[in-house]
Amino acid sequence: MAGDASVSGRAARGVLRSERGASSNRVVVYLGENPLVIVAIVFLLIVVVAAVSAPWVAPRDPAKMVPVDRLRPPGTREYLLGTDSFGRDLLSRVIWGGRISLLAGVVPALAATVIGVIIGLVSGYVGGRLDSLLMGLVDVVLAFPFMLLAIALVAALGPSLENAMLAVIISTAPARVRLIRGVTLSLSTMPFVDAARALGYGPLRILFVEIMPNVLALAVTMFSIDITIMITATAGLSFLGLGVQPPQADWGTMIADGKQFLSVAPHITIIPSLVLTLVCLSFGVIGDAVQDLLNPRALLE
Amino acid sequence: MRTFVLRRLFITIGVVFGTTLLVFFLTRVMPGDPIKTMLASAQVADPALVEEYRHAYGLDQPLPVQYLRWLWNVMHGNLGRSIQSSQQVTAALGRAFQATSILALGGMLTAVLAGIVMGALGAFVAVGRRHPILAQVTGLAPLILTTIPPFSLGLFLIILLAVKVRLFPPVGMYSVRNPGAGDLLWHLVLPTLTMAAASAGATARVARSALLEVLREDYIRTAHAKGLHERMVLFQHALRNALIPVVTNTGIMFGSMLSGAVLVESVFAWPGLGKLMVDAILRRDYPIIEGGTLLIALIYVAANLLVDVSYAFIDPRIRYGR
Repeated sequence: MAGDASVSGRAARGVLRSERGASSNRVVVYLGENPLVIVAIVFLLIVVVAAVSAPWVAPRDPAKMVPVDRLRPPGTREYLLGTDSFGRDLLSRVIWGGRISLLAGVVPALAATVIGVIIGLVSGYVGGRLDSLLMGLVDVVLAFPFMLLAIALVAALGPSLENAMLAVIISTAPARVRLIRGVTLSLSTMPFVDAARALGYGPLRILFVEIMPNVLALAVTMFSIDITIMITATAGLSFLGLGVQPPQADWGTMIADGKQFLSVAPHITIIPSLVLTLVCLSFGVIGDAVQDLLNPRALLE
Repeated sequence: MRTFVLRRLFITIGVVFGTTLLVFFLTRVMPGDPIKTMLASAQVADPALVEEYRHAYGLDQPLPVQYLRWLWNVMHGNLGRSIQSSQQVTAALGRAFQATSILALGGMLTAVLAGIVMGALGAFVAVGRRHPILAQVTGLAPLILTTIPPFSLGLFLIILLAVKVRLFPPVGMYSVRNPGAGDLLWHLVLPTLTMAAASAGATARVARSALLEVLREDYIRTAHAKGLHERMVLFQHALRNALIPVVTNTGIMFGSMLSGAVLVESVFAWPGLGKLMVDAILRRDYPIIEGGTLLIALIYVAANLLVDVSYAFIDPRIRYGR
């Protein structure tokens, strides 16, 4: 990316486009060297497909309580993963819960990335008073642990899935704004921006057509790494009772449900925890792969 | 240097008070009433009593007056009393801060040590190219530690090491029967490991990439060329220089520790700052929320300031001009 300095941003992208054939080869070579990435992708695909087709895949109604069958261990013929303290089928609950937990990771990550890119670009390019004001706000939000801020916001808005996601977005987006703004600031001084200005391009065109493509690699990497953070944060809010409200349940609420039965029926906690952990790890593995392949670090230095 | 520190100090003060102002008004727009919550837990619902309490806590004043009053009291070292427990906010915060500090310091120490060992192992295995499977494992372990949700890890540890094998106490900070330093250490093990995990993973990754970078430097080749023993090169020449980014990373770690503390303390019923704040937010205990916000913002900002200043000290190439 640093080599783009000498040419116009658009010309640089033309070069990238012609190299696309070579870069798809690079992906294949990378995947061959890191088979774990393929495992992660396959695992996530299974989880996503199961969550999307929950009404057809889940063996039972996830909210149906069968008190006679409560606290069944996994491996029972009727209940593959056992039941919880209300006699609800854990397999069905994990599948349905995946819908919420996955959504709760992807939506905030996407929102934080979009906010980060747009506000970061504008703040970094426009500069002046606007930049000082925005960065002051960012500083205020960053002066506080993001989990505590999210909790305070949910408390103010009222506990629900939507508010939990909103709270996570508000408390995480500022750090992304700051990152993109920093990169934009250094990109703005590059010759290709001067060239664009000399050609008489307007600020909007310079910002979104010339500069933005150069921060996209960073944004995509940020997004892929953020998914894990967002899933954990929203599940954490649910775990504290501030996210999804019953009868709906995501993996966080399921884990919290099992907390009282750790010695009698640890599987209630272990199963959703394990799924959540594996999903987070898979996203982490993919995030690392994206980072290796796009290498936005060159841009940061 | 001095102008840089002074300027940062001014911005910092502004940020801290901006934060308290934001949280002050945020808590007041929250639905729910601290007095009613407190009286409800005592099973009283007398409107006259509610008014009396409201007046006693100054909640019947207009909001700007309340904030200015709070600021005035802060200047005099008075953070008021908790509405819920009527104890001094400074005392409650002091106790919680102590509990969290013990946890955070234990976590940081564990994270730095484990992280450096893991990172060094990972780098040496990667350079050696003799153990492809070990290389995969040492590459994956830090990622597992950083991505595993803290509450999942905490509960796994409780199930494994406190319920299945009764090695450690599952929750709490002290036993009722014999509270003491040894007892505290015993209770500290599981929450510390949980707190340390994410930061240990992050440290390992920083240490690994820093080491790999250093190992490509010319002076390492020189050290090899003059016939130094492999171990000498790695530990005397490479590791020492690779530690610089690790040290600066610990400052950033402190902030994420405080964020992690919220969940870890909830899992282990640890009477720290995170749990105090969550409980206060849920019960609308304004004085605790405000005092806690001030304290946390101060800790956070101080840690960040320390990081920035230490950058300049560790790496003389960095100069903060203007």
